[in-house]
Amino acid sequence: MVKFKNRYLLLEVITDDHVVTSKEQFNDSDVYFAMWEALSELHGDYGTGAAKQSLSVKVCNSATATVVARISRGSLEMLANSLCFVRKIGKHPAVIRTLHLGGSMRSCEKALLKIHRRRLLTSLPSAKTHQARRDIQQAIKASCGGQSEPDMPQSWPPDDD
Amino acid sequence: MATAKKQRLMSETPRELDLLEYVGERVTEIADLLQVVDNHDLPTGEVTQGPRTVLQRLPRHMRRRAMSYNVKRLPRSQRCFGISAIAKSTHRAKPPSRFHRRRASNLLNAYIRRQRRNAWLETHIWHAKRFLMRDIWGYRLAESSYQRGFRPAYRDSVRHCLVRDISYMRCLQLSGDERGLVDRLGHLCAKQLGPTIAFRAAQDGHVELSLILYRKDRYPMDCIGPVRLMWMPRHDSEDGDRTLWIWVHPSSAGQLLSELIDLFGLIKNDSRPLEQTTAGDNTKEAKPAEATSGAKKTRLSLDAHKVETMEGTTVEYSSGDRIKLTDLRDQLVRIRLSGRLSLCVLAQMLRLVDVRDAAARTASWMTESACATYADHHRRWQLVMSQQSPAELKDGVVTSLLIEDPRLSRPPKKGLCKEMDATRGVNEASGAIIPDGAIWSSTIRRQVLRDKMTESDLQKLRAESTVTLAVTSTKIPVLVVVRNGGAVADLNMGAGVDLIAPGGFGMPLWLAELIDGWTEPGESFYVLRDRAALKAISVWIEGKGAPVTDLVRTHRRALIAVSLNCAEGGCPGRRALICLPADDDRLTTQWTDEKRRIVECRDAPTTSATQELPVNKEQPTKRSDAFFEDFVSLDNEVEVSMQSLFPDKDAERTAHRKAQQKQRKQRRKDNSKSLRPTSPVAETTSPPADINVVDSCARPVIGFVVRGGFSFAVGRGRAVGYCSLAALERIVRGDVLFRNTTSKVYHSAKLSAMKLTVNI
Repeated sequence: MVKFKNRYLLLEVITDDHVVTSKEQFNDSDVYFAMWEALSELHGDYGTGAAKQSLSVKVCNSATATVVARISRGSLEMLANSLCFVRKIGKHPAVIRTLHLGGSMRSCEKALLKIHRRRLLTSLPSAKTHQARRDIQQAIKASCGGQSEPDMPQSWPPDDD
Repeated sequence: MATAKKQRLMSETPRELDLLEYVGERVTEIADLLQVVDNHDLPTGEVTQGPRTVLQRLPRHMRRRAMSYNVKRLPRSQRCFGISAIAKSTHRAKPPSRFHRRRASNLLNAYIRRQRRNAWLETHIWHAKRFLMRDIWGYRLAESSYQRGFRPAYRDSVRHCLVRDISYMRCLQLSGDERGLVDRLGHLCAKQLGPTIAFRAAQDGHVELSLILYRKDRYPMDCIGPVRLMWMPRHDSEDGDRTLWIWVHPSSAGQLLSELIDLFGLIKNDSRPLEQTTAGDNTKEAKPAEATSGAKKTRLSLDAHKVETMEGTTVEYSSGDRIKLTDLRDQLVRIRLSGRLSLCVLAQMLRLVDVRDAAARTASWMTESACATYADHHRRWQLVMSQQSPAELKDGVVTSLLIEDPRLSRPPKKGLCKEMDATRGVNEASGAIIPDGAIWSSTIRRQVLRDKMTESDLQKLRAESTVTLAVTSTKIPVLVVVRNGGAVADLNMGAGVDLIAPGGFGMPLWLAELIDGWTEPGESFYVLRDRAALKAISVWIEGKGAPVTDLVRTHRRALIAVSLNCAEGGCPGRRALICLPADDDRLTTQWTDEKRRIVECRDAPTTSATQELPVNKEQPTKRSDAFFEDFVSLDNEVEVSMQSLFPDKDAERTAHRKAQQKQRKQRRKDNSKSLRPTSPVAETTSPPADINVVDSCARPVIGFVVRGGFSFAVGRGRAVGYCSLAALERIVRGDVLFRNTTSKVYHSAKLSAMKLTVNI
């Protein structure tokens, strides 16, 4: 009758250059091992034992540097503590930032969606060329699922040309 | 510079160069996520990838746990939609209930399956409820009773009767030209041991011979083992072919079989195809479970099934010159009764068919001559044999009887056999009566099995008749063989009878106890069995005969079977050492006030090279030495194992066990390389060359005990063992010492040679 309750952590991997290049690709076992080592360092055998039962890397997308890890509710605090101490993943130095903590995969996906949209918006100002800006705008529009967004002027910031 | 970098890290803006790529990646991910999160085809809040199933379309408040395999858990209106989906779902198959497992047919299948590893005797189920069972010789046999101990068993053997099912004995049937059989089998026998196969008086089949067979012409080495041999009575329509049965113990059966194959040049026939049992067969046995009669497919009872399959797949060997060997394994039932009242009990148990009454003998296979034979045997049985104790009859006498179904004569209450008639003593001056050969024929045996009534039919018959049912159509031919151990009744080789019945008729009425069997030692040395020699030696040991130096010289490597009788205290156990006393040991009870206790002071040497327990060395640390940088290490620091500091019993035990296993493996490897046959006595009498057994203890060792214990017959310890013949010269008046392997004290005993031959 007992339901095992898990927590899903949405993590972002921040490498030295802030963007993962093709040389610095990592896979889920790298991430897992990095978390494992951190747990072992901080909580010892108890931590690794508790984690081994429930810890798993559900999603690992090195292109967008997004990782979703699942852990049981009881060991969440231990994992959260040890994530701070992750210094490298694979062979490359990296740190982990927690973006969202949810009770289901779905909530993490929804959160990720929100984050991506927001970042697209914030990336708009850094577009240098007109073409780039337009592409970003298109992308934002498409990502809104066809829902109407607050009206945006055709060109923002004002064109230089 | 540092602050700029920091700013960049903290901000969320990507680098400019990779902006488009960054955006592109994000867009694809967003698209995927939207597909999952925000699918417009579904009502809000739903999360499926494809079209929803019936169970998913149900509103949440109507969903029930585990609907996927039980259509009744769906609301009625949805059931028609859900049937196909539910039918597809494969729920874990519920294991059958105990009731279902114990239904007759399933039980039978289970029994048949369980016999793949070890064959069951017909009386297995009866034994399994009451005894501790063990896997021996490819059979599952009863070892010790949960109810009766050794002392009641001993009492029974002395006063009444002890019964045992020895159907595990292998029966080999040889048939062929009489002259050829006798000549060739003569190679396996030895004249010095008593009557051989050429014994004329036994060849008409009225006596079962007890022989000890050796490998061809290898006497006195290479003993195969004791056997019992019976000739089939001569037929009228014979072309000089005779048949004989050889009953052999399963442990030596393989050896005997291969020896016979070599001797006669036999080749294995392809086994016959399984005999088809016709649908109308009443081949169900009396078992507590009700067999379903009237079912389309008859289910055989366990025994009937066994016998039918056995007979269908009988292994046969034949040679060019008409010699045929059939392995009648598990096709006959042999029950052994021992004790004074064995014949009496048997007489009460067996209800003889009145062969003179034509209406009574309804068996289809009966002939006129057979009737006459049975009439003779029955008369003799009733008048003479059933009144006597087996010890008064000639050893091996065979009587053939025709009996009714034993289930009919089962008394309602178990009672002791009545005492023997005092007016016995009618001499069997009638001479040898040749038994009838019905049981020898496999067709007759099978016919009798088919005629056997099912339990349900029997009950119906009983219900219909007001009188106790006395007669059915089943007539069973059986053989009764008297066993008289020999001239000297020694230890547990009591006199008794054997009952041989066709397979499928495990007898219901009997008491079963277990007597420890006699194990035949192996032959790296050899055991001297020459009767004349043994007689001379035993006489000499007692101090009444001439010294036997010649014998000793000729049989240098011979062992003698000896029996030890303890003088006062002590109880010899298995593998006890038999030693010569030193000159100044006071052994007789006259010196009780000054009697010394002879104690082993030397440590017993191990028979194998002693090995140290491997010390658990701690695993070399995987961590780099940098970890230990902070520790100050002294020069004389030594690595200490955790095991020595904090001894862990479990770890020690496992290490010890592993060391033992390794030793054993090594020993096995060494043994397999050498050609020495492994056998219990070989282990003790031919140790590795570098160990001197004789001088290993405080007193010189001359032999070992095979079996020993406290004997109720004499009230002292007694043992049976083997001694080296050469050492017997040094014994004075049979005084020896013995010491158990678990003790350091030597006790005195009297040694005497056993003239009795091994009998099965």
